[in-house]
Amino acid sequence: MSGNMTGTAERIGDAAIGEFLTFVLGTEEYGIEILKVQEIRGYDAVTRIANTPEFIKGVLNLRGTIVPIVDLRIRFGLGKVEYNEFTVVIIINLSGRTVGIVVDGVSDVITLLASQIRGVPDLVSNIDTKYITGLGAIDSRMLILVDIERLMNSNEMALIDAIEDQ
Amino acid sequence: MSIDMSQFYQVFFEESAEHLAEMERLLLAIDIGCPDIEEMNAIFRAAHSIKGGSGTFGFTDMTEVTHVLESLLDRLRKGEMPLGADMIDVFLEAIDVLKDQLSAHVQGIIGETAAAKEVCVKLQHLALNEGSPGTESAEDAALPTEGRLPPEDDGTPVSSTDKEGGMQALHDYEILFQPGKAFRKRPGAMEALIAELASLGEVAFPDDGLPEEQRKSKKGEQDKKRKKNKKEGVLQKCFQVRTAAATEELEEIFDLIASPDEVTITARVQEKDLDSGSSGFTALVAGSAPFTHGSESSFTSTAPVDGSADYGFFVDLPPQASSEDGDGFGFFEPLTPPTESEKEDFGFFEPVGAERQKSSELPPSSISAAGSVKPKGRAVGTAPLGDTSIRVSIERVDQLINLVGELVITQAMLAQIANGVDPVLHEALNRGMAQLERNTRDLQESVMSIRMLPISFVFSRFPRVVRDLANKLNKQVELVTIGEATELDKGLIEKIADPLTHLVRNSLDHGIELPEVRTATGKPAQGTITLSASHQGGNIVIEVTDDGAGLNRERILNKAAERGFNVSEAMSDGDVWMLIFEPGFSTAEVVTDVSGRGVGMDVVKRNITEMGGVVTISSTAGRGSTITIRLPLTLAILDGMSVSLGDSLYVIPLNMIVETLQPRPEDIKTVTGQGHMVEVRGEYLPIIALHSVFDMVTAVTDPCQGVLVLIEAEGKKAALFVDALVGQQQVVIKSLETNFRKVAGISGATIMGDGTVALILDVSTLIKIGQ
Repeated sequence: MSGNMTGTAERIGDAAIGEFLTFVLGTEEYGIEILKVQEIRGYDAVTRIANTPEFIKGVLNLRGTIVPIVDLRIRFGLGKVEYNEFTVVIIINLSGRTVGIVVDGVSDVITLLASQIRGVPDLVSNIDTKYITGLGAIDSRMLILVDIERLMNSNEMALIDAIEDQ
Repeated sequence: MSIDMSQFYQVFFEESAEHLAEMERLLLAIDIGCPDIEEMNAIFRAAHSIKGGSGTFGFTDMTEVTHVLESLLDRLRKGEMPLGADMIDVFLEAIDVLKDQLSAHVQGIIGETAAAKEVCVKLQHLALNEGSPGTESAEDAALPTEGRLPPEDDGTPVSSTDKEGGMQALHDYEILFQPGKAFRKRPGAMEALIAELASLGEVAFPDDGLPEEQRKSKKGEQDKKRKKNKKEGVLQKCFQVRTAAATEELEEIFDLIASPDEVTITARVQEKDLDSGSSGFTALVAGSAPFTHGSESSFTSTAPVDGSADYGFFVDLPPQASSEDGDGFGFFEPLTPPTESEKEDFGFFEPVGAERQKSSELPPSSISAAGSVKPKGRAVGTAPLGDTSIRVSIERVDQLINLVGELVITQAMLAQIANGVDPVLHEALNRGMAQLERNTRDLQESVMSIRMLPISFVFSRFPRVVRDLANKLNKQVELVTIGEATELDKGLIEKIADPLTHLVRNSLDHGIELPEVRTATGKPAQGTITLSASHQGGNIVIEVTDDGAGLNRERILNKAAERGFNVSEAMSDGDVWMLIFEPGFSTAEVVTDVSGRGVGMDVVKRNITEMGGVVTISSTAGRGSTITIRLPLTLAILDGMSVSLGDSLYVIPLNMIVETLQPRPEDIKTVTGQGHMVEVRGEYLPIIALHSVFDMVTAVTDPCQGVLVLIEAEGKKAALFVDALVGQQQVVIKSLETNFRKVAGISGATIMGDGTVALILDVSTLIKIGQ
């Protein structure tokens, strides 16, 4: 109600659709729902697991829980793959499962309004467009909104047993 | 009812299940020719407790069955009628019905009643037929034959006339009712109430509606209250109801029309001498229920010794074990103290059970059982056994175990740091660290032991299984159980029950021959199935042994060939026997409902493998076979050997390791220049290079530079080639699949002292990969 007088532009579609944690992969900005994020931490030595794709870095001891770590930079071929004190791991919680993702850097938490969401055009990319829920336009920046849960549960991430196997 | 009864349901369900199991155990152990009075009493008490509880909670279907059952048991234990084998059958049937009803209530559904009716009819039939071989009719039989067991009721104020008559126990209730205004205003309400009461039994109105006490000029609270009421001109009604219904049913009627303080229901007849059997539940309710139960009713007879039947977790001490506190039973003194000869009557497996419960099962229970012995006669008060056990949900225990696991890891981490400091300067620190290590280990052991249960929890079901199946198959089988006190993890107990049942049934069906066949081959007509459990190293070994025909090598091979398995005459016996665990394999000529459909044995093996166990068979034609199951002690902790490979650590379960060695170059043999093997004391074992299986980079590629760990799983051996041995340690198993997926060759993960993750190798898969 208090925003009633702030101008006409915001009145159209000024309903916030949610808060997003944005992170950087290479030159691109991505956003995931903040509620899926458990914590952000530095990169520790992981234990490599044999016979897994290269982007699965291994498993980590997160206070007694064994958590797999996926390097999205390797998975999507973005950014420089190096591990140092600035490497960030986002621990995300996906309906009971905990997974860590390695990204280039975490930038911000942004509230997006419905008016800022754009549709996803058909295009060929490393991420199947079905895992992209939309594109957020903030001034000149473009935020790629990823359905992280669906992405991590997909067979191509090799994080869960493929259903066909069972 | 103004309190929520459902909060006590769980207690009732659990206790009833235990009572039923106890009844079944006792019934199976009983000597038909000469039943032990204490055992009969114990069975009766269990039935009575269930009846009391089910009545309290309004599970009338269970009350009906237990009531008929109890009446019959009551007469049996008083020696009014002889015990017959057919009775045991019907009793067991009744127990099955009760179990079904119980599980129906647990699920909140109303079970089907046909079976219950049928079993009630059967029981009543027994009571009528057997009860009066001589002169007594069923009704007369209700009067105790005082002459037969003179000491039985001695010293107890239980009058003989209040034994239940015939099949229905009638109770007299006196109901004092002061209807509220709303009730009085409603026309026909009183008539409806009376009609309702009449539907339960006889309703009488004593003179001018005065309660009996007042007519006898007894002073009491009711009296005063009544007088006061009369002065105030309050209408008051007094009914006398004679009915088989429980107080609760009467209360229910009034529940709808009156507030609790307007009604007083008094049971005029002492329900039963052993009513205390149900006090475990009723006391709970009565304590807070607004209804005034008759002061001269059941609770005065609360007998602490009977309390042992109530606090379900500890199974009733069998009579042998509790013979020393036989006095405590006051009401039912045995005619003669149990003698050695009597003990022998309990069947071959009983003494083991008794010993178990005495010696190892839960020592505190036996101690306090002895401690609770009261002087002969009456003791008022709640059962003192109550504080010897508490029920805790398994989640809480698991949470505790997890936390202790974390603590152990932290402790190991601290120890590693403390190792780096100067021991001279920090002597106190090192002492503290040593103390901490001891304490954490003790703590871990005690916490783990919470989850440990004796295997008798599983074994106890088998006497029944064997009995039923043997009857069905017309075989004579004796079941011997050994090592019932062997403890294993609760998780394993639950999981082992089904496979073990299957194995026992299988032994009975396929192993043990018919009596005629056995006699013809010079064996005793009665076959023997032995169930044994023991600790061997870090394993629990459970064996199912029968002295039957043994496995038939030819038939298994033929069948396997028929099924298209890859078999040859050259296979070792052990390999041939393992074929019976293949899916779709069955050598039974006739498919029965017992076994023979070829599903089951493969499931058995799968279940056991899932538990981290191994199953093997040994068999001699004509002499019988033994199926051996080896299980880890617990699912949560593993004794492991950590080995290094490149820059990572792996843990190999210690129980899978035969030995470790550094081979000499001449011990390494090859086939066609590849397929490396190592010769160990004349045996050629394949070498599995872990770095190539896991595709890891390591500097050590020559087996002679590294270490060969001889591993054995499922009867197969191999030599695992790793870089070096690091050390032996206990590790807490963490699932990799919680957040990740299954990885071939890896069974789980663990956290090492420095906080890093090490993977636990799945030895049996590795051997398969290596082939």
